[in-house]
Amino acid sequence: MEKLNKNEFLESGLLEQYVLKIATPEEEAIVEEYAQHFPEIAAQIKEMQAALEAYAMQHAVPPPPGMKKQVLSELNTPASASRLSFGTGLLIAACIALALTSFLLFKTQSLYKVENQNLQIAFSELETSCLEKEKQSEAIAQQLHILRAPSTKRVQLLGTANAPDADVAVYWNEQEATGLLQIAYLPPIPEGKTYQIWADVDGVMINAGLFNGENFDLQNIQFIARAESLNITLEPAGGSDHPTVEFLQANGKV
Amino acid sequence: MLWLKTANPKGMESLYDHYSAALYGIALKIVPDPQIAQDVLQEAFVKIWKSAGSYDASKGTLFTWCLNILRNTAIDKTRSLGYRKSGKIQPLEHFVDIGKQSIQPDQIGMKDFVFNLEDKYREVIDLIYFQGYTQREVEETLNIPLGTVKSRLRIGLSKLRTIFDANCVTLGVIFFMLG
Repeated sequence: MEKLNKNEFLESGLLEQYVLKIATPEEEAIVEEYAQHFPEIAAQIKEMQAALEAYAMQHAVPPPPGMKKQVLSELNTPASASRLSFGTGLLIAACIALALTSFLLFKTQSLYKVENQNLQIAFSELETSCLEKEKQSEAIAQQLHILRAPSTKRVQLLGTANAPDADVAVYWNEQEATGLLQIAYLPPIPEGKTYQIWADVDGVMINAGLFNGENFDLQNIQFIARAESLNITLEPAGGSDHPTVEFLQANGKV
Repeated sequence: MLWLKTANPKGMESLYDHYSAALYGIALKIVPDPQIAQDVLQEAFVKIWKSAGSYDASKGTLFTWCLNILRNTAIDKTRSLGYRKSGKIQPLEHFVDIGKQSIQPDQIGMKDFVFNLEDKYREVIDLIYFQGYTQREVEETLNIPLGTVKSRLRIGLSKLRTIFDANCVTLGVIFFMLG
């Protein structure tokens, strides 16, 4: 570029390009050379820059009040720290929330599973006990029915010399073919022995079953038709096919 | 301006206090959506902060340097959002209007002075200084010869220089001192 005199330079528009930052590096160098040579050009550059700035200030729009804090906090973040965009942050937050929810749901579900199992166990226990009670209740109702029936005979079995204080009642019902035994008193059973009851039919002793000598509830015994008397003996544990008559404890006529 | 070289946060706060409104006003001229303009402003301040070491006071004022960064950030943004294909932005009427609206003549009692700068000078200065146009782009956009663009720039700047007299220059200098 040929050398311009000062006025030519001022007319060239380079100065304006320079202050507006649209000059090429070569043009900038030329302007700076002129500014060094002519202090009034240097002063003019400063004035133009200041005027442009003042002009820009005229167009100022204050940013929202929260902006300053946001910008400054951004600057205080270490440059090395990788910054997440709002969207990524949101995505991560959503993932964490989802994971937490899943975990909670999983925990709740396992909790419910255990609870459910416990309830099932409790229910089946209750069901079993309920069925037992029902059976017991039926048995008691049946016994009560026998006791109240007019056709039931009460057979009193009294102690022999072997057991003078023995006192047992048997409720005997031909129609229902049922026998119920109620102990009032029987001596304690010796070790290895059991009580057994027999029905005398035409002079033959027929086994009517073993019974528990320490149970003071009503007990069912085997009904034997045409029994003429009932007899209780002490037999070896497990019972006998034929009564051991010398150990006869109590008896009574039907 | 040592604080800028050493990236001193206090200095940055002072820079924000002095320039944020002017820079935001210019950002709004390039991207009229306030939300995006705020993003641009924020990004620009981060860039200013990070490249503070590269500022050369002998090449221009601190404000012009900041303005350049803001303008480039804003133009990048408009390109990434597809607003702007080449160097150009929107139809002329649009931003000329915006330029008029966003002038706040009540500020510093400059009303008369600003209105003394005729539209034909102002639109050339605005396109180049605020919007980052080249003179060639101004020539095409305003459909006036390059020579006219250059002369309007020269006259416009000289008028601006008279409008913002010595007092304002002093004010500007004080801004830098404070910085």
